[in-house]
Order: sequence, then structure tokens, then C-alpha cells
Amino acid sequence: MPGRPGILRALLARVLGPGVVGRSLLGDLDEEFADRAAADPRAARRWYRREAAGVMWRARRIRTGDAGRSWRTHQPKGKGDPMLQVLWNDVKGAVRTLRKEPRFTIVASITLALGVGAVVSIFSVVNGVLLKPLPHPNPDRLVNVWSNATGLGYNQFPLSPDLYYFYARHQQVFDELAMFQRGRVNLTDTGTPEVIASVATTANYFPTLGVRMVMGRGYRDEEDRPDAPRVAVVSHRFWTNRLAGDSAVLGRQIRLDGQPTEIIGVAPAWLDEDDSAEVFVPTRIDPDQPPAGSFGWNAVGRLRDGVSAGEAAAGLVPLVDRFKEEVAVSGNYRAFLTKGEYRPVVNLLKEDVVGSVREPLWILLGTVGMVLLIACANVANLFLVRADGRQRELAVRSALGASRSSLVRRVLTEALVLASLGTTLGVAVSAAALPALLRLAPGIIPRLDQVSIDVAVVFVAVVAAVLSAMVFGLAPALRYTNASALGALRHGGRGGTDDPARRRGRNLLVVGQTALALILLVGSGLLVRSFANLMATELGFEPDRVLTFRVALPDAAYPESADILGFDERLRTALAAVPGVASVSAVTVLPLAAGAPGTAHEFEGQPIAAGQLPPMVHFKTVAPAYFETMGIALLQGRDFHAGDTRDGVRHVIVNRALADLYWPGENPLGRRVRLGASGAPQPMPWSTVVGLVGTERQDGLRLPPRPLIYYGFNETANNGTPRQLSYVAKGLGPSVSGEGVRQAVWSVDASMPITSMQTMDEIVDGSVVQFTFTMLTLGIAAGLALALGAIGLYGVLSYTVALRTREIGVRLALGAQPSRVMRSVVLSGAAITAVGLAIGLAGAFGLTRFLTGILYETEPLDPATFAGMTLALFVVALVASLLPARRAAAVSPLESMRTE
Amino acid sequence: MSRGDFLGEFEQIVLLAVARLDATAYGMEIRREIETRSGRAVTIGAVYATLDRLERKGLVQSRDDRSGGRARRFFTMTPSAADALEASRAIHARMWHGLRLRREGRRS
Repeated sequence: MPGRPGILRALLARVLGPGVVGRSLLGDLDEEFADRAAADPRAARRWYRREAAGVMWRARRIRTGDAGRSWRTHQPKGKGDPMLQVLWNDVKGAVRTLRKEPRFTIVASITLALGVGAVVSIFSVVNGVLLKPLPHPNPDRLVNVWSNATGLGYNQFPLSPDLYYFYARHQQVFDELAMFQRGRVNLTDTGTPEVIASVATTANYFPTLGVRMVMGRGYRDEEDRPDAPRVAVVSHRFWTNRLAGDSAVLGRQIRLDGQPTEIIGVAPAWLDEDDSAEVFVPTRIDPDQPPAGSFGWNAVGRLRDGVSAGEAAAGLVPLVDRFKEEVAVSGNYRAFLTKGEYRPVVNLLKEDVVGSVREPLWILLGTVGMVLLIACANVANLFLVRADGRQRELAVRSALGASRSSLVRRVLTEALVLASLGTTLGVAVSAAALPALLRLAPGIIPRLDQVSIDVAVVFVAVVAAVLSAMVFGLAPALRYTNASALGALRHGGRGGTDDPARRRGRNLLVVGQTALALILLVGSGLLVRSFANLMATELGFEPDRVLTFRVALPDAAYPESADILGFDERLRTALAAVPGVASVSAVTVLPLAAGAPGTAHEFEGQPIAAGQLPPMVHFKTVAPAYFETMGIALLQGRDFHAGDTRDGVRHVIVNRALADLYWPGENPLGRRVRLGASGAPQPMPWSTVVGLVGTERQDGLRLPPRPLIYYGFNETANNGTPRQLSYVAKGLGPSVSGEGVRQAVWSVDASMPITSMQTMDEIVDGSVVQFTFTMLTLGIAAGLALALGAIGLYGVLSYTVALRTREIGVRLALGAQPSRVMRSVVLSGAAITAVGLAIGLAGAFGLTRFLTGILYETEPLDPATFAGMTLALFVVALVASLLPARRAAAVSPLESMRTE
Repeated sequence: MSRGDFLGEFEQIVLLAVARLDATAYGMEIRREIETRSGRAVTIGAVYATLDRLERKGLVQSRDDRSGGRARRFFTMTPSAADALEASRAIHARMWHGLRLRREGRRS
């Protein structure tokens, strides 16, 4: 039964054993889980966890096995389990010992807390975002269906309704396949006018996702027709926030885009987690006459049992071939599908939701794992140093008859107690730091609301604690309890010189730390370099002092092109009158926003042969003064102006990238282009190029700039005037007043909602914020690693010097130069560091390729970064060894003799 | 009451649930019966542990049944369970007989 916590069930089965009792108990749980999951899968999972905990708690009292074998039914009471008693004594002893050494305990537990806190923080993000299942019933069967046209260089774009209905009729791989399109609608008549997120869906959208209405129903097929009365399902969020959770809401009318619409259902709360939409409305597409070749619709399907996503895609391929023969009969459409090498793509829903952050998050988790290892190495060193001092105590215990195993257990218990302390602190640190970490990452990581410190996170913290205790406790435990070490008592316990074997142990830890720190430094160095490259990218426009916002003009209030153009003109006039505004314009799609539509164009003098694909060119529609407002260079010709429509000629402006592609080395002015391909039954009129402008980054900083055609807003009357517009206003001073802009909009239309008001600078920052987040987190981890590594080296050298005080004193007394002594200490530090750096370099060579997907114009093996970071770490190591070296040189021979 | 000890409160409740459900008493059904009648959340683990204890005391008998497609363990009361329940009720009745609790000033 998918959806049930599988690991938990396996664990339960293990605890309960193979007998009939266990099986019937598990069966009982399954049965009720299925009942509950049908109503609310999330609550059902919670319930299952609680029940499982209850069963495990009582496992020894629940009889298992058919033969009536019982789990330790009789527990010795009073005296308690002898094993437990011993363990308890060990813990008490360990706590006592640690309390006697507060400095050691505090330093060690804070070091561990840093490591564990970092791991717990990042793991809780990984857990919430990547590991927790989506809220739907059987979420691992849900897939999105996309299109690929590699022949045209298009990947993962949506479907077209005609293809969707063809799939829906003939496919054999899904239980259900639904179509939807996200959008926004203007909601009037419930207080202030607002734009809310909406989805237009086919009627089977809700069954596909497994949604059961809290109230009312989803729509029926016959309500998803062009002429059907308007109905809507509202989200749970909408219902509680805007309708006050009213139970009599069904049948009520709301006004969407000016159209009265009846509420027929309320969606469950869990859908809000996955879906930002506030209202769900039918597509109003006639299945018998779906729009052809309009690739703007998404499809979501529920895989049939036993069918994988890849098999589903393979199952759709023959349908595309049939579609070409039976439906897409027009030459261009078929050419598009054939030459474009059109293929269906089927992705798991969760993959689409979190796919883009999967890699960075795992990298971050690996990174903080290394930080924890470094912290462990530091604590292990502290342990080793401390154990030197405790040798006498251990020797006495051994002499009094303590076995080696009991001594090992004793040291390990101390490590465990320390680890628990550090972990508790670490989890507390993480609980405090997590909100701050999440604030760094607004909107860039999906499902962040799922991130919390839950059972799984605490479990990982405990595992981290136990493992780290093993890492830092075992080596000292074994080393200091072996027979030769215990001979210390016989030798009078004079630790006058440094035992090479022990020194090797400490040095090894520092080598490991150095290596890990170098790997992290190189990684974060590569990211910083990428960031610098990203920031140095030519934007093609000037973001400073530009304020933007978005409006959507509803059909009901602005039915005709002329109405829209009139609104635009009045609004631009009003905006220009706002104090402090230097220039104003409007555009369909802002730069860095992706999503400029592409369509077939024909260039005069470059006819398209029959069966060939027309060039797909992206275009935007702009009002006059767009280039001036955005600071895009006008290279040749002129801007659009208000009089453009009057001379009966149609005008376009092109960017440099387009001119270079289609008219290389030629003057683009006066050239003509038109929409559609040659040979179309009714060719569109030609438009003349009147201007050439610089190339703005349209699809984001990391993507190459795109060839673009700009259409004038005034000339759109014939081919659909856009209703969704972004306005841009450049200020004279440092910023444009948002309030002034709002008043200007409302002076033109008091019921016009304003959305997405932000500055272009914010848009630029927003486009790299995921990268910045990764870089910052990795940078913090690397900084931590560097600091811990330096402290580790410093500690080891200081300790070595302290041990060698007498030897150094003797040398100095015999005439050795202090500078030589100093050099020998620094050299030994440098030697350890060099070995660590060599290993770290090898590790970095192997590991930085995991960063390839994140880096921008930076090689994962960038020699400058590798060399720079190695040098930096080496310098830090030298500084860390300089202090102990100076102390060594300052040893007074007389004093050193006296320490005995 | 083979061992002469009292039935615990939860044991009584579980036994009563088994009695109410008659032939259809299996773990989850018993749990639900208790939850709906008592209004208190009860975990399956607690129910199974108690049923085990009751079976060891000889107050219920279990029988494994696979007819429903999966293993189920059905419970029925033994005659001595009825005696034990009746005895418990009688003890309660005797303890309550003639008693009125004052709700105020108990500590004064």
C-alpha cells in the first residue's frame, strides 16, 4: 500500500516477528490506515506513526510467534537489569569526569554543536523538501506530461489541447490524464480588487490528483464546455481567508474577470501545500474542437499500476505518430512535429517540483557532513591530548583489576555523553538558526513550509551523535588502554618526551582536517568565482531606479483593443506625471523573466521551402520609450512613437542578436519580417524594421541572450492586443515612489489590481538568489572548516611544544639558536599541512565535478581557484603554527628543567 | 478470577468491548469500539498488550482466521471472564453502596 510509512512498517514487522500475532496486528493497522488515508492521507500517516510508536513501546508485552513464545515477559524488578546498571554507572562516572574538566567539556561540546547543528539544519531542509512525500494520495504515481522538440532546441514545454485530447482518447498508460493551465484572474466584488492565482483544468483534474472535495463537488465534463454556465471550485485557503469558512458557500456567486461564477466545491487543505491556486475553473475547451498547435497547456497523469514514467513516455510515442497522420495534417504543423523531432516527456510530479534544488541541497548536506567530520577530528584531538594526562588514572584502574574492555567502555561512554551534550546543543542551535536560514531562501526552494525539526531530523541528529562519538572516542579509547600505555605507571608516569606513535595519531587527524577544509574551500571558491562571473554578465539593460508592476485588463471592462490602448495611454500619462518619474513604458514580458513567446516568423528574402520549419523567433510587445526607460542602447534607427500607426506601415524593432543571426554583416533597417510561414493561406502583412537595439538578457543571467523582435503596442490591434502588461518607470532620484504609482493607476481605473510591484534591481537579485543561497551556505561551511582546521593545527603544535619543553630547554642550554628551534616547529606544522593539502587537492579534483551543474563560466578544475585556496590554507596553517613556535623559542632552559 | 487478583480498569473495558462485539472482535475493531464508546484515543499497541494479558489469565481465547484475505486474530470471552466482570461490578457496587462524595472541602 503506497503512501504508508514503509520504513516504519518494515521496522514494526521486524519487532513483531513472523508470527500470526504480528501479521494480524500489522494487518489491522493497514486496514485502518487505508480507511483514514482515504479521508486525509497526511493525518493518516501521523496516526500510523503514533500507533507504531505505541506498539514498539509495548513490544515486549505483546506476545509474538505462534507457539506462544513471549518477549521477556518477566522483567527482574527492583535490582534492574545488570547490564543497564553497569551502563548507568558508566554514564554517572562519565558525567562526573566531564564536570571536573569544564573547559575541555565546553570547548568539545561547542565544537560538536557547530558540526551537528550545521548537519541538522541542512538535513531538515533536505528532509522537508526532498524526502517527505507530496501530500497527494499515492504521490509516486503522479506525473507531468511535457513536450520536447530537440530539433528546434526546445526542451520541456507544455502540451497543446488537440494533442492532449488525442492522448486522452487513445493512451493506455495512465489511469487518468488531466489538462490544466495556470493563470491569474481578477477577483472583484469581494472587497478591494485583487489578482489571484487560478488554474483552468479539465473535469478529471481532481480525480487524477486524488482530491476529494471538503464540500460540494468538482465539475463535470459537461460543465467544461465553451457555452456552459460558469462554475468554480475554490481552494481551502480561499474558503477560509475570503469566505470566512462559511458552510453555506456552495451556490454563491463570485466575480472572476468580471464574469459571475458559481462556487460548486471547496478543495481540501492539503492541496494548498502543492498548489498556489486560489480558484479552479473549467478550461471551457470543446473536446471535439480543441485549439490546434497551442502549446501552452500542462498535463498531469496518474500512472497505471506497474507502468513507470519512462514506459509511459514510450507508450505515448506511437500516439504522436498517429496524431501526425490523423490530426496535424497542415504542412507547418506536421513539419513542426517531424522536423522538431517532437517527443513526449513524462516526469514524476515530485521531480518537477524539487528537481532543480535536488543537486544543490545534497551538495550542501555533503558539505556540512564534512564540517561535522572536521569538528569530530578536533574533539578527537582534544580527547587524545587529555588522555595523555589521564594515563595515570587509567593505569591505576587497570592495576586494580579493571579489564581492558571496561576501560574502553568507560572512555567511549564519556565520548557518548559528550556527543549527546553537543547534539542537544546542536539541535537547539539549529532550531534557532533554521528560520534565519530559511529567510535567506525565500521563494527559491519549493516546499519550504514542509521544513521542520521532526522525528526524522532528530533521528539523524542522534545517529550523527553516536557516529561522531565513535569517530572521536574510539581511537583514544583503544590507544590509551593497550598494555604498553598502561605500563606508564611503572615508568613513574613521566611524560617527558613525545611518543612518536601518539604524535602520529594526532598528526593524522590534522592531516584529515586540512584535507577536508581544502575541499570545502576550493568548492566555495569556485562558487564565488562563478558568482563574480554571473555578476559581471552583461545585462543589456540598466536596472537601477526602475520600478515595475503588473496589471491584467479583464475582458468585461476592456472588451476591445481600443479600450486597452486607451487605458495604456491614460496610465502612461498619469505615471509620467508622478513626481520623480523620468520616463515610463510598458512591456508584455520583463527581462530575466523568461517566457517571451516564440512563434514562426518569415524574413523577407529568406523564403521557407515546403516541408521546412519556419524560424521560431521570440517577441515582445512594447510601448514607446521602453528602451529609454530600461537603458537598452538604441544602436541604429529610431524608437516606436505615437504616430506609427498613421502611415499605414507596420514597424518592428529587432535586437542585435537577431540582426547578427538573420542579416549578418548587413544593415537591418528597412528589412521586412512577418508572422507565420510563407505559403500560409492568409499571410500576415509585412512589418518593416525601423530600429536596432542592444540585446537584453531575456531568460535569466545563466542563459545566453536571445534574438528578439519588438512589436509596437499601438500596432497590435490586428493580432490581439495583450491584456497582461508590465509597466516600467525610471526615476530621476534613487527610487520611484510606489505609493505615487498606485495612486496613478487608481486615478485611471479605481478597480484595477496591481501585482508584482518590485524594482528591476530586485528582479536581477531574485534571478540569482538560489545561486547566492548555495554560495553563502557553502561559504559559511568552508569558513567554519577553515577555523576548525586552524584551531586543530594550533592545538596539536601547542601541545607538542608543551610536551617537548624539556627537550627544547636542553637544546637551548646546549647552544641551539632560538630561531632554529622556531623553524623546526614551524616546519613540522608545514609538513603536516602539506600532506593534508596534497590529499585535499586529490579529493577536490574528484569532488568538484559535482558542482558542474551549478558553476557559471567556471571550470570545476579551475587552476587559479585550486592554487589560491591551497596557498590561503597553507598561510593560515603557518600562522597557526607560528604562535606555538614562538613559545618554543622563548623557552627558558632553566625554567624547563624546573618543571620536573 | 483464576489468580484471585482484580481486573484492571482497562482490562475491564477491553473485555466489555470483546463482549459487545461478540463474534467480530479483532484488534482494530476492539480499538474502535472502545474509542467510539469511551471517547478516548486508544492505541492498538495498548489493546494488543492487554488482550495478551487477558489471554494468559484465561479470560479470552483467540483464534486465527485467514478467510478475509489476511491474518486476523478474533477474540472471544471465556466463561470465567463473565464471572470476573460480574465480580468486578459487584465489588464496585459494594464499594459505592451508600457512599456520597463531597466535592468541596475535601482537604480542609
